[in-house]
Amino acid sequence: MDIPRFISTHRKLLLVGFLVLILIFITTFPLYARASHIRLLTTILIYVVLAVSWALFSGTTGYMSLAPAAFFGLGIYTMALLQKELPFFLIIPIGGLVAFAFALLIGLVTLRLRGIYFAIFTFGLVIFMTEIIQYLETRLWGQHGQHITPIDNEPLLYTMLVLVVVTVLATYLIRRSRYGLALLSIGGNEEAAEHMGINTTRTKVFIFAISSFFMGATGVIAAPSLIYVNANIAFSTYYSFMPIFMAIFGGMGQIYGPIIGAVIFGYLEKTLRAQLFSYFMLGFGIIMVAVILFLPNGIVGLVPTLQDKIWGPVPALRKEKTWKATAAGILNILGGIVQVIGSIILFMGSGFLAQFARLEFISGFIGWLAGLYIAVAIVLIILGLTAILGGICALRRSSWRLGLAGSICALFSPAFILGIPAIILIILGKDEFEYVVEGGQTEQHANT
Amino acid sequence: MSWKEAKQSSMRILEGQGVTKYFGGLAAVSHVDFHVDKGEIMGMIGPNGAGKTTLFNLISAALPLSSGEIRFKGQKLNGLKPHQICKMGVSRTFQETKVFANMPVLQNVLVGAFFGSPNRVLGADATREATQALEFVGLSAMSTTPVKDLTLANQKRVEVARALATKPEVLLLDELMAGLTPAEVSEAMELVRKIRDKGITVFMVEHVMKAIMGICGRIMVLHHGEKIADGTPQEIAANKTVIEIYLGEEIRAGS
Repeated sequence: MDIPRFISTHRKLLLVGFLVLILIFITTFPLYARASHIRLLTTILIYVVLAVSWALFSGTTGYMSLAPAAFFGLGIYTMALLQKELPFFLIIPIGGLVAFAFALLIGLVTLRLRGIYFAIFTFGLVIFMTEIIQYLETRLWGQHGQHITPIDNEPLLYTMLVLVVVTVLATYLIRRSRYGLALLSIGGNEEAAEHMGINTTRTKVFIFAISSFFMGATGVIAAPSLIYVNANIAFSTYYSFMPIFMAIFGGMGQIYGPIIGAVIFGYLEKTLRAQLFSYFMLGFGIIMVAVILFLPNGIVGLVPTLQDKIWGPVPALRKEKTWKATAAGILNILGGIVQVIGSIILFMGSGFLAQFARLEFISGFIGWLAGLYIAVAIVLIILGLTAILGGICALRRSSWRLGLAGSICALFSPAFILGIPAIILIILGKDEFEYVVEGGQTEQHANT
Repeated sequence: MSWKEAKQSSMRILEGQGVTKYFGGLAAVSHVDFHVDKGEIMGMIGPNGAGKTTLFNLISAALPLSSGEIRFKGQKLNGLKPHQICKMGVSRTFQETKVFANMPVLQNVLVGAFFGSPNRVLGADATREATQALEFVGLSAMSTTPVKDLTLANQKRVEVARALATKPEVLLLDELMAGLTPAEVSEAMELVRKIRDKGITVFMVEHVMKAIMGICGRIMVLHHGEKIADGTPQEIAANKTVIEIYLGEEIRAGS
């Protein structure tokens, strides 16, 4: 079966089916998952909203807002102050509106600032909010911090799911509307946009406020799990940087980029941060540097390149296909499959350890071991997938470099025995990847 | 006001009186009176730093006036914002092209079609408008190419198409031909004539003498922010002051 053609012709149908599957998965999740996993999923959804709404404004216009934490924190404090007066479901839109109004005010003052000045101002805003709330608390209420009555895990998950659906839908509609075009043109060249009839100030302030609305509403839903908040917790700059990193990691060109980034990093943060905090931050930093250097469009930006390499048309080869590169490709794929299976076993092992410890926050040696299992499993699954993709490239003779990369990846696994002959064979078979160029010269496909 | 004067003023689609712009203590444009008649191609020349682009920036409201006033169809433009000027019917291109580099050609022009015209435009109409504008400047074949991949000449065409898609009555062209090859200059001249024939008034700044002398009905000369001459190309070419400070320089530089 021709997989790429099937995907491209039934794209809409597949997408809808996929979204329905995800919705079913999330709605039925509490039926079979443990409480800690429900909380993990809720956290991931919180990050999804923060990353998507951040990318809605900053990803399109290029105005780097470091202020998500300010609006998120406003939502948290709205919940803390109103929890006794109003029902939870009413506080969510109110928290959003508080953030919306605040963003309108801030936007009118600051969106004349460009580039680094805007970024610095928004960063200062988060710190300012911390200070002002601290001041108000000690002066007005004579207390430090607020207690928030916890709410059950299931209703929190479902309200968060509703908010995710609303946010993603709104972002999708804005991006494909005339506002989306206006935002992109402001990002492209603000002066030209202004001269082409776009009221740039109004557009920027409005969209900035809309994106802040979702951040504020998320803060309300995130608040009950915190139980106790003070200004430093609610307005932690961590909530500013995480969504930004997630959006950049996932890629901001497509709406699903920030979602993918948020899911991956939300999961990693929750599972690894408790046990291996310093290693998590180290790995996180390395990944961010690598993404910014090599993948300016995030991992979503990789998709078209890989698609082209793996399923794209292959020009006529100069040489006959022989067994060497084919065997290397098969070895790559086998090695990759072993790695993927290995990583699944490790994931299950970490779950087993958690069960064994019977603790919410597994600690001590067992916790450390579980964290290590997950870390190794993640590395292994990345290597395994690369090996499989490289194998396909080797079989189709579409890219020698990816094939070699796959073989090298296959080396780091329980199946390293498969990796060694794969590397040798693919190096021996290098000339099979050369193809005929018009005019009689030969060229490496991978170089194009 | 005599009948003749009244007729004259109704022909004046764009006019400025005592237009002045100070940057600090320096007068970049100083007490310039000018007018552009409906349907003509008006040229503006002058040495570097004479204030030509500044005058365009004042008309399109990229900069606020220090004093004086500019009127479009009798309506004062003072205090308006660039997007309002564009919606009224004065569109422009830029000396250094300001395109939306990562967007495809058609998207660039769509921005003008969507936002530039005075009425709210629906999606299908905007697309039709943009496609027509692209066809008009001869870029239909490249509508899906990202603008950053085009040559300078074609990027300038995109700017023209984008400005035309806003349905302007006056088009300000800021050095459309700078940096183009001789063949491209002839094509650009042809394009400007076609725009005039569509009924759009053109006001252009240009350094390429062949172009400006060839297509403009009237030319004004700026020097140190002041207008020193105004007339037909023949009158300008024969004007002693102009030859002394501008054309002469060109000839010497060219020899």
